[in-house]
Amino acid sequence: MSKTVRLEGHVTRKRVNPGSKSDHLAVVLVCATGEFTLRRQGGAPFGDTALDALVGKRVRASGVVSAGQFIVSQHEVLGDA
Amino acid sequence: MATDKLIVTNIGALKAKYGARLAAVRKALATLAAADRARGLSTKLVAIDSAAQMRAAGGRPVNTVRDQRGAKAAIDVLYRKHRPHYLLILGAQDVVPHVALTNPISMQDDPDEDAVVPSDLPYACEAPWSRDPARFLGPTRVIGRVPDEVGASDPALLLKLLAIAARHQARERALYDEPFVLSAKSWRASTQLSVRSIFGASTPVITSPPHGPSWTRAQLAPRVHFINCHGGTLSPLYQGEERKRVNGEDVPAFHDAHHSTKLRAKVSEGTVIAAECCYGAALYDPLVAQDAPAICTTYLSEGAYGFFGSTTIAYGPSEGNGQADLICRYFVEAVLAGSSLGRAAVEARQRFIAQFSHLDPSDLKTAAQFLLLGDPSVHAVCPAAHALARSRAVARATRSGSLRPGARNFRRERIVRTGRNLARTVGAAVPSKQRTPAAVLRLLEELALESGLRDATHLAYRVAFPSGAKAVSSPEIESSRRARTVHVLKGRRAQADDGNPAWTALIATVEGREVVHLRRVHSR
Repeated sequence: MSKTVRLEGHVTRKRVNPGSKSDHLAVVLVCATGEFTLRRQGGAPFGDTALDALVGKRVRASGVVSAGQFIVSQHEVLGDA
Repeated sequence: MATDKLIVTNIGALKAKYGARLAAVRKALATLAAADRARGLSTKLVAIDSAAQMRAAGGRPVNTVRDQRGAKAAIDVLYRKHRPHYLLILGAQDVVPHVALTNPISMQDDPDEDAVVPSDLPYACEAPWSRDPARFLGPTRVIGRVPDEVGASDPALLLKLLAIAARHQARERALYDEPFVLSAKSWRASTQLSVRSIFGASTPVITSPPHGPSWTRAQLAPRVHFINCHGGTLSPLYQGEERKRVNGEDVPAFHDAHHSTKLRAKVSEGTVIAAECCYGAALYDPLVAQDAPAICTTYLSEGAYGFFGSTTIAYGPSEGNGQADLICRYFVEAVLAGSSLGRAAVEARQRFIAQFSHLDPSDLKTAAQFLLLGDPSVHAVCPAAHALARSRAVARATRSGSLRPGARNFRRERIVRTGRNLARTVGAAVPSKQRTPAAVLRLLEELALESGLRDATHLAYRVAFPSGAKAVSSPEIESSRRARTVHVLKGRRAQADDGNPAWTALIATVEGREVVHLRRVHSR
């Protein structure tokens, strides 16, 4: 069972999973514990344009981590990164 | 009495999930065993957490649900004792765990997001416990997993799947002639190649975009679904993709293609699905992420007999066929030829592995990550019978017991022989710190320049073969294998206006100082 975690960091874009079927330019949270591809709970795994607005921002978010992805249920924008 | 079908589970884990409702699961298992008996199969249930049952088999019970090493040891002991023709793992990974194999891609400089590869492949192999996927290149066992819902307290899904397995019936091949083929638009060429090989040149491929995710019952009615789309971890959604030119740049646009909540009452009983999608067969707790079940479990609960898919990020070219394309194609071809679902899965794995002298990291991940969800003894398609089988004399001899058909024994003998040969002979590329020979590097750099690569990085691998490979090869082959290395130059393509993808790897297989094989692989 995945546990809910809180993470804080800045949001950027990065190519992930090169060469695989999941190779794409993703919205990524860079935080002290590592980098996680961001997804909204209920959002699509690929190309969720609602996440674009977070790029360049510093955010605090809670959600579950699975296979390098951070599936966010709640977040707040702390300011520009 | 011989056991034809062995069902292994963790009764303590099921009891912890379902409490008193475990009685309903036991009843459903008894119904399945009775249905199997009517089909001529003797079925036995063994709990890998039962001290008495494991002691009787000469093994030890597993301590906890997470005890992967214990589960592998228990299944090996039970398999050796019973030698079943089918091994059914009952429950999701919170009942009988997958084995978390090392992700071969994670050893590269630019890894994918999977820390490990949850796999059932080790349970299909005689090789002892390891987390190294290269140790499991010789599958010999016909296995499948009938999952329950991860994290559930209501066994509704499991009861449904057991009932479907009990009442299953093999159907005429003609009912599986017309597939439902769904592909990301940008992978259409690859998907077309796969399904043309299976179903013929005129097979229609539906692409997303523009199609999906709302399908009619008629669209989903075909009993083979072949899906080549994007999938995500903890997601009830597959997505399509097309490439678009935006401000002179080639960018992807994603489109919802398939959603678990849109499958209800639209799937024909007996459907078999092969999904190339990343995480296509990953089981998850619907409550954790999006409060919607996975596509794989939804298909099964809607009456599908089997789902063949990946637990993690999968690989395959956008044009031509490779990795996920091939293993899925081989699975469907075997199902259509009349194999049981479990035999189709092991034959697909064997055929995929057998085509290589050695597997590179993405091939290795492919072999480890694909698994069968469904009862392995189920035949979706009737095997074509010989006319002799319909004769009165044969019917009389079968009834009297003087003729006991043994063809399944012969097939198992062949599967074991093939698996053991593969385990003894197939190599795998493992990361190495050795330097790329100067001439090879020059060639790769020239190709990189021509291919417009930027920020290229080098990766080197040595090719390791099992010790037994020596016994079945000639001195010449041995000498070429000893000298074999793989060198990769991997970088980003300039975003040119030719519509080509942004990531490219140039892969040179070298023997001594000679390049003996060269290929260029593009990302999507």
